[in-house]
Amino acid sequence: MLGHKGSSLPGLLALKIYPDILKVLSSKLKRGIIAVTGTNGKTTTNNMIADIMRFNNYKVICNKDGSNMISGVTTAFVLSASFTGAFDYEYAVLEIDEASFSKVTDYIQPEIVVVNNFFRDQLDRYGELDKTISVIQRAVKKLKNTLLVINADDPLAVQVAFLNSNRTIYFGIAEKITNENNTVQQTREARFCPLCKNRLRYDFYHYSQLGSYSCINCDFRRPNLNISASEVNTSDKISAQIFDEKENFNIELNMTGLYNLYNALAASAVARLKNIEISVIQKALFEYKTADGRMEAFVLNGKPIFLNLVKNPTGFNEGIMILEAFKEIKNIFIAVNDNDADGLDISWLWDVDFEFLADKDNISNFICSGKRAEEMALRLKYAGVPVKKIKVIKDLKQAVDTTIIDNKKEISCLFATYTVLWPVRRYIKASLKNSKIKNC
Amino acid sequence: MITVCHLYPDLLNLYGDRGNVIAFLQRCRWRNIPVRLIESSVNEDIDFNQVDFLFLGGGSDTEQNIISKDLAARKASLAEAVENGLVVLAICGGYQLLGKYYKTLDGQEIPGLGIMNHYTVAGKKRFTGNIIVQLNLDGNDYKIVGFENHSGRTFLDGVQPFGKVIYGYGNNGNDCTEGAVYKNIFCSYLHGPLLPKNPELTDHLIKLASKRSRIDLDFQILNDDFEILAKECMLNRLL
Repeated sequence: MLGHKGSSLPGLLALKIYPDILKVLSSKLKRGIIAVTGTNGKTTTNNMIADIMRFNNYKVICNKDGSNMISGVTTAFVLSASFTGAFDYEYAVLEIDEASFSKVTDYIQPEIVVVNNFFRDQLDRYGELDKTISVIQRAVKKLKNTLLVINADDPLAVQVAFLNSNRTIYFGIAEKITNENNTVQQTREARFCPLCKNRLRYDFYHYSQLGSYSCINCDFRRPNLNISASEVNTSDKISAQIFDEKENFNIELNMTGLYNLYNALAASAVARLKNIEISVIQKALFEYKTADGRMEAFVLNGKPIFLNLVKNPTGFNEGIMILEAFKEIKNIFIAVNDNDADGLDISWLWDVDFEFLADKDNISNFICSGKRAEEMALRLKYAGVPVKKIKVIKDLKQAVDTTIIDNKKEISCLFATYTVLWPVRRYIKASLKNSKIKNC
Repeated sequence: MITVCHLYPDLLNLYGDRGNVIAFLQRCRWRNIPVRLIESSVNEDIDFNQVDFLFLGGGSDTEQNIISKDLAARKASLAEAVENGLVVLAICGGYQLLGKYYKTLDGQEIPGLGIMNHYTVAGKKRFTGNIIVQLNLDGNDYKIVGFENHSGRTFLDGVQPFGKVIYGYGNNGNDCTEGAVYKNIFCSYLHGPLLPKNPELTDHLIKLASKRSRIDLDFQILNDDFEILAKECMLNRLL
């Protein structure tokens, strides 16, 4: 974990000196711990919950920068304790890596655990998806008093609650979204019942395995929603009507992507459980700024630059769908590394539907960079992208410059895997600073 | 018309393996070779005599258990087509399923199709990492690059290997063999996926499949600059 953004060093040292430090610090919290796990959206959901709580004047620790392994979680606590060890916090809102969930919950007992979704992620780190889910489901058995907040639209997430007897709140989208472009043939995960392995039938379908499903054989089906979104619009910003069995309220978010609606729904569910006022929830969500590299927006010479972290096919496909919403001429930049934190095996790129971008006249250039730039270029060639549009530029700065300094295009869309995201981001920010100085 | 069949695409789709089907189809299309794709899953009928190239990927234990019954019911027709020259690419779990059995950690032998004589034994350590294999096709040696990720150790028991391991673990980490070959069946543990970076192998499979579908080919040489770049990036790193 050392050597890239994501600060875990203080936690690693503390754990060596005092192994139970996580247990001790967490017991000092005045109220409790809220944990978020799952594959996609942990950081955004976690940060949204923390923002809502802070708007409500709670003192909150949060491991905001995505360093979520056990050492990262401990670091969040250690950094928050003052020199004398005085500790003044009410809640800890923590995102926990799926693979670390069992170990971390040996030391802390969250009062609420949110499970967003399960998608195939870097297999060479976590092994198989079924194993990951069952480890989490068994870890929940230790947490008998924990309240689960589960994405009802994901049969894999629901499985965790089904096989335990915790009190559970289910969130989901109440109806088929009509303005969401569903032509991308996406990687489908479980189309089979996690309980009896027969086929799942879908009444409607959002993406990957998310939707309204029921097993053709047993009683497994999407649970009734305790908190639901309807009248959903994700075409430019996100807006939706939220209904939670007591009240009806609308939310607006300054971001795009259906997955962000799920993140906001999860955060709203937690906030309503804590009896936070609707106006506070609405304000916090409206003012929420996406975390570093999660569809982060910059402006250079009046033209937008979007930077997106990509980790798995589902996340990348969602990023591609968002591109679709912009009709202007664009350059696309994709940087792929294969370090430990990115996943050593980059085969997953072939499960991303780049075919969708092959015949788009409004895409000028595909600039490929990072340690596996050549492979990314190869993927695009086989996806049907015209070879003359594909450029391999290994030098990161040159690649970013080629993407963003080009008067013929209107928009730059940059995708990067984890370890190359941070240098790209730093360089963009430095370029913006320089251009400001030039313009003075 | 070359008929490609992707078997169990919704279940045996672990980790980009559909890229093998994409690579085969594209290299046919770029040569104007007529080609079509059939996808077939559990409880769906398929006549292997009408198929020229069959792709079988890998899956997690759950998925492999679901399909193994279905595949067992097709064994006779698949074996017959194989004897008649059906071209097959089987990766990872698909490779294991074509053999005699898979022995789990607690000694249970799960029967495979037995179309080939290899067998697989579960191991505790996972063989994971980039891999380079030396492959001989029609008298020429090629270096094949991929990524392996398997805890099963496969033993060939007389079956011809696919290639020789130059870097990595291969079938069992011991005998330097990788994969297995029988008639026109090519089995390997290589993800990557296998075909895109290794166009010489893809083209070999296309030639075999076009013979089976009785298409007379003027086999066009394609520009493989991107393929060569991607393969060399890994060869330079590992060797």
